Amino acid sequence: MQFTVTRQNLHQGLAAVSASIPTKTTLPVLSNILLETADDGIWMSGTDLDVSIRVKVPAEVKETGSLTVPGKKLQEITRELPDHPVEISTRADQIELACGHARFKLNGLPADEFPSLPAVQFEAGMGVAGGDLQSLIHHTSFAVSTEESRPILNGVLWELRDGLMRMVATNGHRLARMAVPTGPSEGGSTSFIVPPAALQQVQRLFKDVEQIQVAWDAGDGGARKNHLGFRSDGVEVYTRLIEGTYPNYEQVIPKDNDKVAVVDKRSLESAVRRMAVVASDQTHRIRLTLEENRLHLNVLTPDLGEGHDELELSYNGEPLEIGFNATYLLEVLRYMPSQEVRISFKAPERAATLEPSVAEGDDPVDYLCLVMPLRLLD
Amino acid sequence: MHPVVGHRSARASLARARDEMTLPSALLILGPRGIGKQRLALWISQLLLCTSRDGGEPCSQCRNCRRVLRLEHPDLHWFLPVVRPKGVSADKLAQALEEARHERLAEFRDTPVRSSHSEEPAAIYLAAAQELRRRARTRPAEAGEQLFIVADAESLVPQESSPEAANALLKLLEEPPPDTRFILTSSEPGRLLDTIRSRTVPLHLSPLTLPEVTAFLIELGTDPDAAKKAAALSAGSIGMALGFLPDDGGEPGPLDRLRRRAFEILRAGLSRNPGDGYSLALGFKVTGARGLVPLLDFLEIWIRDLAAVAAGAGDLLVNEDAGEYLRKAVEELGLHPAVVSEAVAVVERSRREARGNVNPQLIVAGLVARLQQTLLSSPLAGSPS
Repeated sequence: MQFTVTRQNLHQGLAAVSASIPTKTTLPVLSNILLETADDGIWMSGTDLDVSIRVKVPAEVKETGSLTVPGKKLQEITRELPDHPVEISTRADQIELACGHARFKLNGLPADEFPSLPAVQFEAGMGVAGGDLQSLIHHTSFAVSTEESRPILNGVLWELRDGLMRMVATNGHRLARMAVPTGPSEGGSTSFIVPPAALQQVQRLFKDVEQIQVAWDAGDGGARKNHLGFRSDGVEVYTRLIEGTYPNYEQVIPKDNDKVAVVDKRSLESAVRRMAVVASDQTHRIRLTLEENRLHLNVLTPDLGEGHDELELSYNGEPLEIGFNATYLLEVLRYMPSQEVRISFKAPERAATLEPSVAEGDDPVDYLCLVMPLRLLD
Repeated sequence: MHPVVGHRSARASLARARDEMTLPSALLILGPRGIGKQRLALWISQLLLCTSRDGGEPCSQCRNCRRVLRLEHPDLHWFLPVVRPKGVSADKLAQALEEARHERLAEFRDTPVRSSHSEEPAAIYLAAAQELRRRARTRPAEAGEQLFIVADAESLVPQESSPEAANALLKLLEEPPPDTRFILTSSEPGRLLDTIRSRTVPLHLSPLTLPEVTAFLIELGTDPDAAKKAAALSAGSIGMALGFLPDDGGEPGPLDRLRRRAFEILRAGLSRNPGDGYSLALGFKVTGARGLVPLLDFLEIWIRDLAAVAAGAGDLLVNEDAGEYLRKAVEELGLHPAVVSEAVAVVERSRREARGNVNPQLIVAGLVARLQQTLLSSPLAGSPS
């Protein structure tokens, strides 16, 4: 293998791929990245077996071939190189790099030791609007559970329905659900449970991409989806999917919350953040008391102290007292894409839902967050 | 990785089950320590992943076979006991245990043929069982299925009082994700949770034959005489035989040292001087009781040999080199085989104490006193001539 590449292209390619290189691994080859020549450039691949990234950078290929090389070391070397073309060639399992007067040799491993990337057929997949996908990921993946006890909740549910694409994530205490309209689906309805680490890479690597190709491979005669692939303009991200059936989240979303408050997002965020200072480190519990057009926020933590605040809002329902984990409340408020938030309640022991309150004439946003209440002790 | 030694009929049945698609999704390989249970588990992994199997055996040449044998196949996950990292805070324990597992796997890659004996007690801790569970919930990376080898599965319960690790695995065995296989190995199935035993299909392996062990050692480059001696002591276990081989300086191997130490306990147990037990006990540390378990295993073999001599079967000794001493002891003390066999229960009691982490000095002192009481005070014991 022999090729010449600009230092900048090499650096960009390595920066994209290196995020998938694990720091500690049982498989030594995973510390390496795979370099493969193409007609007009070089494919670089890295994987931690959960998420794989493959990018193509322009290069002048003189001799075809492939080899794996230590990813972090190559990245460190590239960072320090002068701004000259970089000539890379291989001799047996060793890579030789020359840039200006600098010369390096790095020991690699044969390409066939590198794990095969998933056999995803992008031609049989579908196109997804990049902006829509980014928005879904941004507004839902924060709610994924990090607890090991229910692995199924460690992923984001991505549903593709006819004319609709939806993501849902929850940890059992709060939930985020967002949907965007799409064109008619050719492949019918399908869904995946995607690890958030992969979605982070999609966010990072497809930042300004208009159209992203999505496809999956399946085992068991198509019955089980193993991997999901994302592709656009020489960048590919693959992820292993999480096994299992996602809980029926619709069941927990209340349909009869009849006490509706509309509140300025920033004012509520500030007030909740102030109360959170004095809230218990364990429960983060704060108390919300709703009266006509007024919200009282209270916090009382034995051994620490108490706090009170109030703000105006639009509310005409019966008075209500309800407890929340301030951290969860702040989290969902942070992702609300509107100035005003519509919060619906039923009773102190029932889940509250938060939705963006969109001004008339603006496009509606199908976004809902749910926060479970905390029991108030007195 | 060396080829599998022995276990031909087990391999033939497994290959047949593979062809007939009847290989169980959770297999428990049972048999004495060091006879090649984990190596057979790797062989089964090859059997399942090999892309050019011809007849019964996997090819060992294809990309998948090579990666299995180098422990580098992305869908093969090997969980094995590790020594608990010291000085690690609880929040970093999971990461430290995973690193310890990586290091042990790297050791296996470098030195696949090794003694089964370990100086420090190791276990599969809860954090490792949780890591296993996390991996099992994702789809296979490459192959059609994921394989999990859990070596020495009895060590999933590091202490009788904390079965969390075993329970964490239990949930997975109860509802295994599709396309996931578990191969557990154990040399002490009695220490496994009943619920794990009931959810796995047992495969019992017999010890290897003496010629198989001897030939393997000689193939490794061992001196034939040393190989024969080590094989004779190994009870059909390559892992044990390797521990009996003298080191490069000609000093006894780690297992031979343990065997000799166990012999000292037996001698003290046959002595009429109560002080012998105490002076012997002072030579032990005050911590690390679980490390006594292998020593007690050897003591049991010594007692078995003593009983063999007492029963007139002195030609069937494991420790042939001490035959003369044992014959003399039986003669002088007039030991009856029934009395000698009672001493096994004494050793078992000490083993329980060791697993319960009692001070090793107290265990040894008590053990010797009880051996003396059992062997020398029985009405069946004769008076020394």
